[in-house]
Amino acid sequence: MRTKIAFTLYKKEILDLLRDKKTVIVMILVPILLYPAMMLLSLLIMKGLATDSVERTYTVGIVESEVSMDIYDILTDEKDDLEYHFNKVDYFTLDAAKNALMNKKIDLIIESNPLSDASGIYSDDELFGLTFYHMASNTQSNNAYQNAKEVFNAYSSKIRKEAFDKVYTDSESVLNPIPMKTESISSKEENAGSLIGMILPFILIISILTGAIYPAIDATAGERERGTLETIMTLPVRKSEIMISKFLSVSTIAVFSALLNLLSMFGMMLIMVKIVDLQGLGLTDFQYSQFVPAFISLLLCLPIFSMFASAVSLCICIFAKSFKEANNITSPILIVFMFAAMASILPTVELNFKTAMIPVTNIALLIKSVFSLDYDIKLVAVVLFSNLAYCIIMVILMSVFFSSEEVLFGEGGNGIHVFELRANMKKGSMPGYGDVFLLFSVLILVMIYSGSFFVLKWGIWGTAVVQLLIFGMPVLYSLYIKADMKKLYSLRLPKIIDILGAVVLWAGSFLINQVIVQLLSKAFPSMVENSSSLNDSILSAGFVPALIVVGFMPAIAEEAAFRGFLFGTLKHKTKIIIAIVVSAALFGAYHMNLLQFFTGLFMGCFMAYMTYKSGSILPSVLFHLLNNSLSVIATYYPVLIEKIPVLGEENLNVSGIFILLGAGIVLVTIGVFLFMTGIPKTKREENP
Amino acid sequence: MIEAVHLKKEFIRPVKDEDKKKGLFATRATKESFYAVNDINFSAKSGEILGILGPNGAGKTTLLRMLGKLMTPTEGEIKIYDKDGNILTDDVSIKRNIGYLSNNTSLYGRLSAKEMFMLFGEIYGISKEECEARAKEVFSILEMEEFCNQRIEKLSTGQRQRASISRCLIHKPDIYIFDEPTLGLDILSSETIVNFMKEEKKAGKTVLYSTHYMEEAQYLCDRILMMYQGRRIAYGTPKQLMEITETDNLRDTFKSLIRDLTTYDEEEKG
Repeated sequence: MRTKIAFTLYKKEILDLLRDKKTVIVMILVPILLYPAMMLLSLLIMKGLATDSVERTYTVGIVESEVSMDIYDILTDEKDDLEYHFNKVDYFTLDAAKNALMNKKIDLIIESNPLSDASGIYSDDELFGLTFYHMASNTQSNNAYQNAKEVFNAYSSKIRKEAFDKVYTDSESVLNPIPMKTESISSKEENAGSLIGMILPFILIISILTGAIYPAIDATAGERERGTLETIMTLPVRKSEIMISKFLSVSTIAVFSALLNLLSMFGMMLIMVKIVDLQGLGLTDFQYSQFVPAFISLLLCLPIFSMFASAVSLCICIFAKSFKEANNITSPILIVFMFAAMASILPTVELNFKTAMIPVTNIALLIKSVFSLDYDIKLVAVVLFSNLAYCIIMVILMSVFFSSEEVLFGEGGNGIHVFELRANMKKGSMPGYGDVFLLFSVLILVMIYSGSFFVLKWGIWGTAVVQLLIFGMPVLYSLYIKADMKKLYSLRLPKIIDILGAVVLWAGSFLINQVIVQLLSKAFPSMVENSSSLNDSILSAGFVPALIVVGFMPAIAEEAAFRGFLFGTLKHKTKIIIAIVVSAALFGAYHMNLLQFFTGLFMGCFMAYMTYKSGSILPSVLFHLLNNSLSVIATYYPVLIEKIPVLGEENLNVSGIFILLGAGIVLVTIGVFLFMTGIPKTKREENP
Repeated sequence: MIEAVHLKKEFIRPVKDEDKKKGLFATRATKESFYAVNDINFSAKSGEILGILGPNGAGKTTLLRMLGKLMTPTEGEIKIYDKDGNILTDDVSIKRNIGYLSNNTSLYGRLSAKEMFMLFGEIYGISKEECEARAKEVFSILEMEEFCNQRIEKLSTGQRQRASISRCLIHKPDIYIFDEPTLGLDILSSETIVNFMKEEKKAGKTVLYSTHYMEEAQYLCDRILMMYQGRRIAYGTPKQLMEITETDNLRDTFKSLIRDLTTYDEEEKG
């Protein structure tokens, strides 16, 4: 890549983008006008609420009884120092009153009945019991109830104090033996910061993303639609230079738009603070200097996150053939980003080493933590570096997509098929990169959101529901796009030798996998912490259900998704080795646990290899079944495993590791050899 | 000089096959690969215009895209020689020697012709001063002075076509590749382009040019390559081709060649 050429292309991109009215409107006008408009609106709403509450009047229906007159007196007696007052309507029966309440003629019903003073303390006063009837669904009625209760609570305290005064000299200490006071020692700055930290990330993330999406669409789908993509290809430039220039220009615009958003927002905040100051509510000694580190880290985050958002949007828009299509396929991203950014609003979600690895969410939490003036510099570094890493991954993905002629000239149909009209879909077509991307994102979302929900709700049967979803989604997706199911899911019978190979290969890779687990858990003890909860749910279910749900179902469902849909698509699109590794990496990432990422990656490579070599998905189903069933058996009958020498030992010594590794490598070699002796794949496809 | 040796390009396309109906997962349609360009050979020397003719879908655009290094051939070789007779190997230096123009290469509507010229000049590695001088020269040849500072989206079709040609001239390439450059243009605009090609030929450049206009090709081309379904069906001077088919104009030559092929195909099937 030549920097000078990339820079010239960058200049061209920026010039081209800035001359587009749509980009400029989204980038400059929206941030400048949005925040003042929002402030104006909130001021109006606040003012509206304030005037409303001053003149609040409630109509109370009082059911006639001996004491009903007193009740109305008490209600109206207090009205001088309160912001509300009550009107009375008398009813003879409770039913009539209820009718009126239901028709919203009155806001509240008070039914009263006299009480005799059993304790003897209050003998001078008229005592009564009250029943309130209100409509919990109606705000006005609810407020009437709350306010009336307040009045009677005050009255109740008053008569209690009067009675106690007669008996005790210091009635206050009798009534209130433990006086309590509350004082918050968090500073004004911390209060303000935690509030800002809750709202700011959400607004910022969405504004950066919208700032990135429009230029990204323009630079990819827009260029293709206008036909300038081919023009630029005729120039003596490399694809990497075109791509980098696009990436940088979209990032620049996103950063610029984010900065404008920030400035506009803080401008508005300063004006608000001034208004509050003028009203004498005191923020005069507010120390803005405390927020300097927060601003610095914000300024560091913005460009990196903008780059990430730009890379994601470019990656997706590159598949779109037109502006319209690009708009359609980017809206799901906006929703995903919104959900991830919401993390800052949830009080319990905090920045730690785990959340610092989740893209988007980590930025939201980082901004939250720095503004709450409570942050760990190590975590800040983790967030920044993980974002940088994601960014690099996205750029690499982008260059893979961008170097594909099918994507550039739109002849291979690599878009996301689901968004096409079903009538336009061709029977027997194969899904493309876009479909893989979409399906994997949906799988992950299902795992994150509904996965934990179902598992918490129904325990092991929740896992079964999740597995059904994981099976159903790729299958329905490919049926919907009329894919060639037989080819995509490698649905054919394997040869006996392949079955044998699968068993041997599994045994070998299982041994090596044990070594990987041992080594990783020694190096990073924190990695293995959450596997015990799974064991609990397996144990509580019973052996047979556990075997079905944990052993059998994933072998079908996960194989359909990963070796079927994802690998089946990728193997037709790219070099076989890339297809194997990428599908295995996705399989590892799907487990959402660092330890299982590595084991998933390792086993996934073998399973994809077997599917490729045998042309059938069944060997990898068998492989998966053996692997998962063994872990269920190990959970139920740990004795069986412990009896096996070397393998059963909790902590391996060096020689044990070498024995396992050696045996594993031998078995894997035999397994691979068994697969290699089969008929070459090309011949099989010719004579199915 | 440019040479193509056994050039092939494979694409995947869906194909319907009503006969296959077996089992639960059998589908009636599958994808098949086909050669959009199938074993094309030719060479075009300096000072020569090579016309590439063929019906729609014959593979002309794909062939030209491969020659312009926009696509990579599946098989075969393209040899491009510089002035001294050396073969150019890397894509970037090949593209420096080629001016590529097709109806798929639109211009940046939001830039003016002048701005685009300067930016592209920078990419070709021409200094700013030189580029200014070059712009002046090219714009006067193509009579573009009036509108070279307007945004391209505001120009008329003819003006735009001239701006497109100016883009190909920035780097003084030795080889021009024109994919249907006169398609949809009025007589005056297409005359500008035809004259331009003649001028460049005189200056010793190689011009590869695809068209549907047989009269234009007959009068302009030194040699003609006819394509049908990705294959070369005829190759030679217009005169030779007319002699072979015993016709007196290229339009009839073309028809006669295609007719022969289709009847041959039908006989094969029958």
